[in-house]
Amino acid sequence: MMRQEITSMNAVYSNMRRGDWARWTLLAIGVIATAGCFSPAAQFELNMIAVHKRELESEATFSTQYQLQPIAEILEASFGTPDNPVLPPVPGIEDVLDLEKIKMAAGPYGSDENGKQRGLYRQHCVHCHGITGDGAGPTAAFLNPYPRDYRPGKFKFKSTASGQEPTHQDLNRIIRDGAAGTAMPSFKLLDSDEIEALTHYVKYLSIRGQTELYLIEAEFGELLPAVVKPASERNAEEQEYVESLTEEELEEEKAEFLEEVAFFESRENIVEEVVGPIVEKWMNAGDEVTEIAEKPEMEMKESIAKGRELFFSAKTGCAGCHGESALGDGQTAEADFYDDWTRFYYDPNDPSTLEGYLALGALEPRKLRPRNLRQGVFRGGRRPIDIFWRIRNGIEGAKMPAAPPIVTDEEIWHLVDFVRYGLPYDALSENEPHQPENVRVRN
Amino acid sequence: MKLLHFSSALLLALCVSSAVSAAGWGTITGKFVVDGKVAPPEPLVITKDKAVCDKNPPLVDESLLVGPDGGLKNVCVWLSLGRRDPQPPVHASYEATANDTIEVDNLACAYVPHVVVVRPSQKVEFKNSDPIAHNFKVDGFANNPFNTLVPAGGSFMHQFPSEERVPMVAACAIHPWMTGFIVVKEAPYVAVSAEDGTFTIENVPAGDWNFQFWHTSGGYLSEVKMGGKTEKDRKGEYEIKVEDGKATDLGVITVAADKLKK
Ligand code: HEC
Ligand code: HEC
Repeated sequence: MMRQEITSMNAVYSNMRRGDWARWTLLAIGVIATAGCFSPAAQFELNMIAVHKRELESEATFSTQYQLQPIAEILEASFGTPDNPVLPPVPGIEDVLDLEKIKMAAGPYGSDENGKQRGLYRQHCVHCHGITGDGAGPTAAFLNPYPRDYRPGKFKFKSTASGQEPTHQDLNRIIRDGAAGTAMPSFKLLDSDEIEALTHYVKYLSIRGQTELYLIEAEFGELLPAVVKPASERNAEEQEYVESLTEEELEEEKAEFLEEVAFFESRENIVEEVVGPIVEKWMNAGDEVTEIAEKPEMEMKESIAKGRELFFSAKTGCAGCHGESALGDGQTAEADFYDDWTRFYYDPNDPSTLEGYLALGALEPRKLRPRNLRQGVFRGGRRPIDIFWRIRNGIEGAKMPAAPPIVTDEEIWHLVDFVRYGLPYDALSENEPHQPENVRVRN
Repeated sequence: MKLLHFSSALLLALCVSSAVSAAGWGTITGKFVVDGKVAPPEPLVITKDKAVCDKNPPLVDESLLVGPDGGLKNVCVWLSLGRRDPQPPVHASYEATANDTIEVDNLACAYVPHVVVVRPSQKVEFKNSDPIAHNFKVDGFANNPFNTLVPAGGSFMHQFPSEERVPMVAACAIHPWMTGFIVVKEAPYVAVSAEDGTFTIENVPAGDWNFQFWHTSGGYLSEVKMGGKTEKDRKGEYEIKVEDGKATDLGVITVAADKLKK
């Protein structure tokens, strides 16, 4: 049964790769029909954007049999499906992910046979963040900024430094409060239990997505499948390469390749090499929270004046991006100002590959903007401590750098006061002429 | 905490491997030369802080620099291991530098040097000798990314604990034309070709090793001519024999100009 399903999923991949959506849908329906489910079984789609990127880098195409299928199998064995989540056997994972909570958020909206609530994620989040958490749900194309793609495990608004995972509390807070000035709504009206369930589910999708990315980029993506593929599946470069090998070299490379694939047939290896280290980082996030010296007692006017001086100094460089008037216009001339989620598939210096990514569902690139600080909107929360963390640690994925270590905590507090109270409030100010909204019609 | 065994297993593996000694040591030398015409490097478009960054002669794109006799600068050469191979023995001469600090400076809005090589045991000092603020945004794969501002005249220290498959990219979000590369390899058998294309790696353990050739213009050198023979490898991996007490001179290693992507 399991085998069968996976084979049909493969057919899905190869069709997706040709961008043949109509057939893809037909096939998907076929899969559901043969599986005989009473409700349409949602599927986690493979991260084809990452696959495509790896293929362009290595000038080879992934083998369905030896790469795409094993990746899908590993992911399903480790994390289950959108309706039936499971957790990989990583020691201590229960400290990071609570399966009961995840189940509350997973599945179609409603309640299960025992009357337990299910489907919170699909009820509240999926139309923006997508089933896999790719940030490309049906509404996404109309939003600016785009909803977060959870799969790289990168988050902007957190209490930990760049490169560290956010804490449970960080994610819980952004779900509760939303991100002001963006489409990310506040879910304050949900029970704290429900917000907890959603927080666990976001972490679950992130860890799953990070595992997938690692398998695609590092493990399976390192293999050059030309030697094991039938000639009909090889592209011109691969064919040329295979022809350049002697019989002996070919056999050697084949054996090496198959050995690597076999390595991942062991669950133990998967846990040790791939999922374990990822989960470990999430486990440690709580210990990585940036500690902060208490805000010094000071006359607000004086603190703001100090903050202003720092803001415009070469010690902090804030004005270099946020502009001399803090309208966020310091970078408008830069052609290459995109966030990391976009930079993953879009290189403004070489736009020729963009079409291929868009065909796989990537969102039209939108330029990032340093925040216009005169609008008084703080996406990551307006408590002084939120803004302190933003300035001290920078905003991961969004180019805003961490303040240099020589800037003291006290000085950061002055900057916090300055950006909160030291700028003329100007709700209608614009930092660049509105670009015509880049709305792409999605199927 | 409970997962301590990952890192301790790794440590153990490292200790065991560095205790192994080699059957002698040799040197590898060579010179990368471009065959064919390469356009002179383009001046970079300086969009801000012109007083500091817009110099005469202007800053140029450093991704493909060819010397007067065709020597190719900034080819990175490193000993390449299979993914689960043990680390090679390390010659005692590398111990003295094991805890060195490697410097990367911001000088007139360019990273100097353009390519640096570090080991996980070493530290990097990210400096800014310019009178304006810069930031270092460094993205790798095995190491945590970071993005930190460095004030005018300031600096900060950083350590990369893990080896990287390919060089990490350093960029400045304030001055987007700036890029640099950081090669992080556990084994110290790494070189970057000089202005004239030459490189030397000393005290390599005797034996048959794979070395990878990688260039800042487009990654792995998948086709080179060595010793009069054309060799191809999609991952730029070539076998080099090292003999005790001898220097393996690879001679001129030719790379066709049209194989170098811009
Ligand atoms: C109407 C669209 C929309 C809906 C519905 C929505 N989000 Fe978001 N979400 C966004 C956008 C847009 C962002 C990006 C904000 C930014 O980058 O500043 C975001 C960002 C996030 C982030 C990342 C914050 C960070 O620090 O990087 C999390 C976590 C998140 N959303 C969780 C959820 C959850 C859970 C739900 C459902 C309960 C949900 N979102 C529903 C649009 C939405
Ligand atoms: C390299 C450019 C850059 C520099 C330098 C920079 N910022 Fe930012 N900053 C940004 C960008 C881009 C954003 C918007 C990020 C986003 O889209 O979420 C931002 C956002 C912010 C925000 C809004 C946070 C929120 O929650 O909405 C504040 C406050 C801020 N920056 C303050 C500062 C201060 C203070 C400094 C100097 C210490 C500084 N920035 C330096 C690029 C920069």
